[in-house]
Amino acid sequence: MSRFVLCKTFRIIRYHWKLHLSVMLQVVVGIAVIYASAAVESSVRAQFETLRQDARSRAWNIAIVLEKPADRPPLDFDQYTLLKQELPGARLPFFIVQRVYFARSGDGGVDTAYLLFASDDYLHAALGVDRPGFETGATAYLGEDVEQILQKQYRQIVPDVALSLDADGRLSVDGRSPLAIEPATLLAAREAAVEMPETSQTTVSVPLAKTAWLPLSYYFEKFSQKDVGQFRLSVLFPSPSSAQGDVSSDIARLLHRLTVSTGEFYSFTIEPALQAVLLRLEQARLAALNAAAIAALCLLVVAIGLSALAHLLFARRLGGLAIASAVGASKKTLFAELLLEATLPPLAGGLIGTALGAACLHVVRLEAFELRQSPALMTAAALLSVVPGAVAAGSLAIRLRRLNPLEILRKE
Amino acid sequence: MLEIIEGTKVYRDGDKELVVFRGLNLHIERGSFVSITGRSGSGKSTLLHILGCMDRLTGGEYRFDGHRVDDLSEEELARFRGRHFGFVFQSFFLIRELTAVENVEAPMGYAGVPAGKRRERAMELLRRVGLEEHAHRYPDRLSGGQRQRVAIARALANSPDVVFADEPTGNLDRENGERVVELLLELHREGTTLVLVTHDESLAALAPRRLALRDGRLEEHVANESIAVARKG
Repeated sequence: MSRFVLCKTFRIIRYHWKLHLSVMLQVVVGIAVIYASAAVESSVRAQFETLRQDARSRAWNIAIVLEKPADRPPLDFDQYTLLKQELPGARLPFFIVQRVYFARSGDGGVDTAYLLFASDDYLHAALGVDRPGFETGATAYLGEDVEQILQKQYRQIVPDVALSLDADGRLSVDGRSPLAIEPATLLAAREAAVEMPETSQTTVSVPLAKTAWLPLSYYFEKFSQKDVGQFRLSVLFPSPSSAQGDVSSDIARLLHRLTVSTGEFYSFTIEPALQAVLLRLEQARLAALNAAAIAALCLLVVAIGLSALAHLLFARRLGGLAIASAVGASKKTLFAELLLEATLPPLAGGLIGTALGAACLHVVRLEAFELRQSPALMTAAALLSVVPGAVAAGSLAIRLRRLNPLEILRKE
Repeated sequence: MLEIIEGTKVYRDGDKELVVFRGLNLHIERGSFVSITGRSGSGKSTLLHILGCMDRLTGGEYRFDGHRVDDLSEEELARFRGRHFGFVFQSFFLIRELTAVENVEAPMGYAGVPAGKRRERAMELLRRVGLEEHAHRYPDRLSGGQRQRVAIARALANSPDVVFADEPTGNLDRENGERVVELLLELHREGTTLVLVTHDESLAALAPRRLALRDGRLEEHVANESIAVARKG
């Protein structure tokens, strides 16, 4: 591109200064709003990602409240399986714990056995063991102490759970079909312990020796209303890519599914602290969406306005371009002139607009989140300003390519 | 110098065909002054535009100094036009966003003449057409005659081999028209080839060689030296 073309372009811009100034001002305001909105959106989105990671790192414990006497559990095994299918990638370490107390025959002391009706996910969460199919199998893993209690046939104190070994050495619980027995040490080291909830607020560490691991489906062979309080349901969303959608929507879906399944008998809620996490997540998501919508709307308005102005401007320039062609300007040169004229004032407006947007964000302090401005975003905003003009120049260049300069001159 | 051999120009609009001329032959010598007349719509301006490489033949050949130019690309043709031809139009066709001197500079700018030399030559040409004082005025601040004189100065910017004038006095009053004609005749006397298209018979009569385009055919008249001399006097 020659210096002459550049100088000529500046002269033409100078001649149409009012129109170019209005274009520039429009770009200044538009880009300032677009940049500020995009920066807010980017900052909120970053915060949203942090919150989302935080939400995924948590175990989402679901509280189950019995609303009225029920003849069915809050969640049966089929429903549990369905939930897992609906939340692919999520882990649902579902288990039901029953504490059984025995009176020792020798010293009159009390021994406790923890019956854990566990899902495969719980086995993984509690012991780090993967035993696919355990939850529907027919094998129980007994800790040493539990096995000893059963062999010595200590007297069971509470609750009224018929726990016994049959003649073949198989385990039977409350009249359910017998299970083959394996030592719990096949699952974890002898000295391992399991953290499990004691109350809704506290946990207790239980040695592996005192636990009996039974398949989750085995529990549902026989349901007793008194077991409702023993239900523990939690959900983990281990990695962002494996679970579909946000944690909040997954949780909402899960609660909806549970409520639909069990109807009037139970209600399900998540802890207040977790609810606060969900609320913050939702607020951040909405703020990001709003900022993005403002930026997109402003971009649309600026793009339409600029294209219209550019076309108006260039319609006035057609004659001049045809004359330039007659006195020796090639079409490439004409296109360069058009492109320069269409992009220089908006670029100046874009640079000023970006600076203005950045300055506004610097002055305005938002308490909800930290505003982050990046050079990449600034560059993108400034460059964005030339797009509508360049597109308008391109479309006019195509028209010019098809038109014979003579045709234009005849109309002048 | 300029030569059309068996030239044809046809405009097509769907199935319709408008033949401007067919099998036209024309030879214009270097340094000559040729006028082309014809009724409105006879195709005289089209012929001038073809000679000036602003339009193309649909058949036949167009040669400049023996070399075919009708097969040049658009880009090559634009450069060729800027280097060898100058144009004076009825409607002046000045670029309204540029001052008089900038308009005169334009052909030189596109031809790559350096800025300093460009300005010097433009001022010299404006001085020649008597508009030095108006060099920095925009076209809309100039009278019709002044605009046409700027257009003549612009046509001469690259010292062209041929100047094409299409109804150069058509939009001017008598006084300004005569001044423009004087400038054109002066160019011819200095050796510039001049091709003038007009429907004004008295203006055409100034040319030593007169051509008339009728029904797509060129008719040649014997030049009337006495009329041309009388007008010049």
